[in-house]
Amino acid sequence: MDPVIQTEGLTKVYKDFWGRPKHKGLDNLSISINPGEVFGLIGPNGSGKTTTFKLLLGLIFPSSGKATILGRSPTDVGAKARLGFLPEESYLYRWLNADETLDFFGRLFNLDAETRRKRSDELINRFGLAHARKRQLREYSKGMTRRVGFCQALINDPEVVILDEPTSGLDPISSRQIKDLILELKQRGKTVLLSSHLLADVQDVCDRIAILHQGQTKVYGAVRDILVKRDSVSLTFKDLSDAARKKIEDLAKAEGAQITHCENTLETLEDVFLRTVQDSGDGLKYDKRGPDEKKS
Amino acid sequence: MMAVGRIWAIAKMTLLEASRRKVFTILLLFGVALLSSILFFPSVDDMDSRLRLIEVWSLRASALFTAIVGLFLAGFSLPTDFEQKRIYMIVTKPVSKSFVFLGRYAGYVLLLAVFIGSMGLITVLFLRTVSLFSGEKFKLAAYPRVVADQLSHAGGEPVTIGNDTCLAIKFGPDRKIVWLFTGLRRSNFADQVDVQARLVFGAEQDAYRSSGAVKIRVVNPAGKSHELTLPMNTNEERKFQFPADLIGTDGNLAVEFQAGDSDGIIAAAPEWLLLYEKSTLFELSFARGLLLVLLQSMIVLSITLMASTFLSAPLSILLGILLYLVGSIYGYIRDGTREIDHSLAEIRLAKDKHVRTPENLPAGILWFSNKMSKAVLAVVPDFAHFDFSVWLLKDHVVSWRELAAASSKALPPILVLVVLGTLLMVFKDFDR
Repeated sequence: MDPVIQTEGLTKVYKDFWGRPKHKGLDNLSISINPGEVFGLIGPNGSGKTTTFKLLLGLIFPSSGKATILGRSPTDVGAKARLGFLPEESYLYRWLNADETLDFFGRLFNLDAETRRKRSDELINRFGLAHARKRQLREYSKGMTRRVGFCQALINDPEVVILDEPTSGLDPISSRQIKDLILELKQRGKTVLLSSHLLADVQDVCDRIAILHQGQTKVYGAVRDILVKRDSVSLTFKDLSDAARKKIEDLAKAEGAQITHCENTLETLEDVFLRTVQDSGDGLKYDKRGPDEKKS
Repeated sequence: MMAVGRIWAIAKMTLLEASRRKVFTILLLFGVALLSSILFFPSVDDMDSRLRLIEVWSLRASALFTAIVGLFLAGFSLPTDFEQKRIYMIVTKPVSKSFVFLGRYAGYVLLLAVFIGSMGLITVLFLRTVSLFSGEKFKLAAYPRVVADQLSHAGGEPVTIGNDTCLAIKFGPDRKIVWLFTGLRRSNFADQVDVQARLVFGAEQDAYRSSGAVKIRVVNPAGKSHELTLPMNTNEERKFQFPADLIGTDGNLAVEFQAGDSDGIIAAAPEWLLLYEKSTLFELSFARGLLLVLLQSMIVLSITLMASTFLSAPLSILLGILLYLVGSIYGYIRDGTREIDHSLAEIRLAKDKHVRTPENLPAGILWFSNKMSKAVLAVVPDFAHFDFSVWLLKDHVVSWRELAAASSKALPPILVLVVLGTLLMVFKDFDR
């Protein structure tokens, strides 16, 4: 199985006006992302995430090493036709409305008028923008602009989706919708590469990750492999009586195990928030299954 | 075809964005500027002059407003795309970076065309309205001119006068300059054909002769002719008439000029004699003339947009303004370089090595400045080629030949600048 995205020793050195090296934005990145995989790039500010994206999208040229997308150079127009990209900020044309924006980007993919209209309708409805589709983007809130950004990233029904900070600037509901969307894309066989500061988001949706720091790859592998504690086990019970709990604790101690933590299972704040909002009856919907259930 | 579709998408977005930014409100300003020409009506007496005032006023305003719009929109568009990173959204699509430049350029050319067309329409409506309410019978005219197919001479020799290659003849019964016309159509002319002629006079013993008499004979192949004698001055554009009935079905006609003074010499170039056809529809002629304004605007647009691929918006605009100024005063700069050439030649020939130029500047500085000026003139087109007011003031139609000549001056630099801008975009690294 050929990787969808591959980098080998990818390095970017930024230079000053006189061509002297200023700083190393990325140092020797070698990753491989397989079809249908959700891959996360995480790291602090200035760690090289956005530089990696720029190199993969052909926005900047590498100082050394190479990158391929769908087996082609990042500057290859054919590869870009099968790619969707959401930048960190929504760099859209503020004077256009949502319909015009999507029509414009659809034209860049040479989609015919009927396909452009159909896809626009689908995406605008999916992202809850139908009521504002004729308003210029400069009148949109940050979250709404972000959703238009998603629409344009998906207008060509891409095989590969690159999302830079996809949940940035979104409220918890929209954020959850985006995570659901990413998992849906995975189910449809799409490959997703994303970056995020919100580690919980990455943990929820990614199969594999790379942690970057100061341009260098510090950790690279499957999320589960990276997070698992081999010397620690967690069991979750439902309707466990105090007596039964006591017996289990005694048994564990008798077997030489040390119980370090024991408490009732907590819901995530996100789950509580979403349930509260949905129960208030404002019509918003989200998938009630937890991320782990959906990933499996 | 796919490339065209993508370039068109960017061009269309550029137009839409400009219209949303309400740049078309500048047309209102143009309307006000046009109306302000009425303020100057009291200073001109007749209706003819007033309409000319409007024509030239509107044309200058159109050229200026269009240049300003082109300069500022083109100067800011790509740098803003780079700074606000909107360019990321386009070049991450299956769009070559060069298409972004070409699409933007096409969009702005369309925008300028819409601007110039709208301003032309407003001008024509205004002219017609003023003409209608003037109470005088006045005709907005545009006369097509016919240039001779051939210039021949008997007993003369070619000479160079200024930039023109002319034929010169002395006085003598068999010596004449003959303009030969073929394919003339009688129906294209009024009953009397207006002719405009220009000559240069000289004399064998008088180096300062600048006027004289000429004997003119207009003759058709059947031998039927019309003769007259005219006093003329050097480079005076003198008009006379002959009966249009001389134009036969074969459409051939000869216009012969002989020196009228016994010691006189006359010289002329092929295009110095013109026959005026009947006036065509003014509006159509005006529209063709506006294409000249568009060509000029496209040159300014090209350099500004090209520069904006690697310079900041203010610097790109400054470069565009400089080009506009140099192009507009091209003739003065060219004359200046010629004068400096003379001054430098005088210094070279002088025995006294301490001789200074009439400008009282060291020869080295003049030499360097002259070389620089010539280098600039070599790459900047002379905007006089696109000055439609020259045609307008004489009621001349801009002929297709003249339009082609102006295009041949404008298109090479436009093409070079567009190719350069495209290449700069292709190799641009968006590393900020």
